[in-house]
Amino acid sequence: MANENLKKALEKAMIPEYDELLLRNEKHVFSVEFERKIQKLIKRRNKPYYKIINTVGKRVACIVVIVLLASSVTVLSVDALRNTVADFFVSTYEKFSSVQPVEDDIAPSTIKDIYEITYDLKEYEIYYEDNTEYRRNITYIKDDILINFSQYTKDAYDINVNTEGYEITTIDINNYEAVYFLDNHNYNHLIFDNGAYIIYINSNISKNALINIAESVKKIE
Amino acid sequence: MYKRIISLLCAFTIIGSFNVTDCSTAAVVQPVAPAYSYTSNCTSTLLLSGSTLTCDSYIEGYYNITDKIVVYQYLQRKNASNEWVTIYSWYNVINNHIGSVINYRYSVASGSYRLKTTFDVYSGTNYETITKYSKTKTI
Repeated sequence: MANENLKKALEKAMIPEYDELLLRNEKHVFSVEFERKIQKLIKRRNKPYYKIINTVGKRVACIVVIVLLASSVTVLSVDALRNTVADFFVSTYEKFSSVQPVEDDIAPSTIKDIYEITYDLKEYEIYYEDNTEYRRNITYIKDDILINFSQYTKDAYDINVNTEGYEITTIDINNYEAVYFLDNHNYNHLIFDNGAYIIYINSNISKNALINIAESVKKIE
Repeated sequence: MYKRIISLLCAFTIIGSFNVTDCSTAAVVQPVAPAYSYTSNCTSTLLLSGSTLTCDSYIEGYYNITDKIVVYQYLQRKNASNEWVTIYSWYNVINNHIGSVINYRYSVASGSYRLKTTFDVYSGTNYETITKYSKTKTI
């Protein structure tokens, strides 16, 4: 009897509430933010490559592939390691380096001023001499010691030098920054731009002696 | 399945990138291979004065090591297809470890030119070949 009364009381209390809810029949309106998110998900789902990127792991793998491909392409496009050393562009290849001066439109296109070594080379004799309008090359010799001196116009200077396995550094020569390296035959090389011309000296004498010789290079006419 | 494909792609790309790096280095160095054993430095210079081209190739080998240098000069002009074509060539032998070769072309037609120089640098019967290109000059 008590149960029956309880059932009747519950029906009386609950049913009108349900009826009210069912009769309301209003369409639910989703928030703008929710709609935006859903549209985004649908769009993403419709992409042809969705299955390739639908998990975090797959996305990471794709990024790795892209980065590797990009770096491979970059490697292909680089011919050599090209640096600016002192006033020169130095392109370093495996066996040699190409050294070119930075372009200078006001530098003389022919040799107008003669530069020479003023260091005492009395004990040496001239082994080779080759002069043109745009370069001068003199080789001094004493026994097995050679000193190769060159003066170039900037336009004519584009040289391949033997730098295999050796590091190129810079040295101050009379306030000019010179490119210095030692090659695989123990020849020290110094190249510097004196403002008008390129001076290049290489020799199998010691580094300090070569620096002294380079510092003695002066305009003689 | 897709993860496997992506992993394979990654593996191929990594292996490929190493090969590509090696190939690119080799491609750069090949023209002067095998090495600079007998050559200290060299130039290949093209100079323009009016309509005259000066083709100058200079080389220094090593005293008591280098004994002969064979110099091949190729004056090249860019054609309509943007390819370099040899229009003149010269051959000289330097019986020393150091030397230069200079040739001239007068009244050349307008266009872009460069000098390709190939040096065969000898030490006894062994030799190395070095190729050097000049800067391009346009008339």
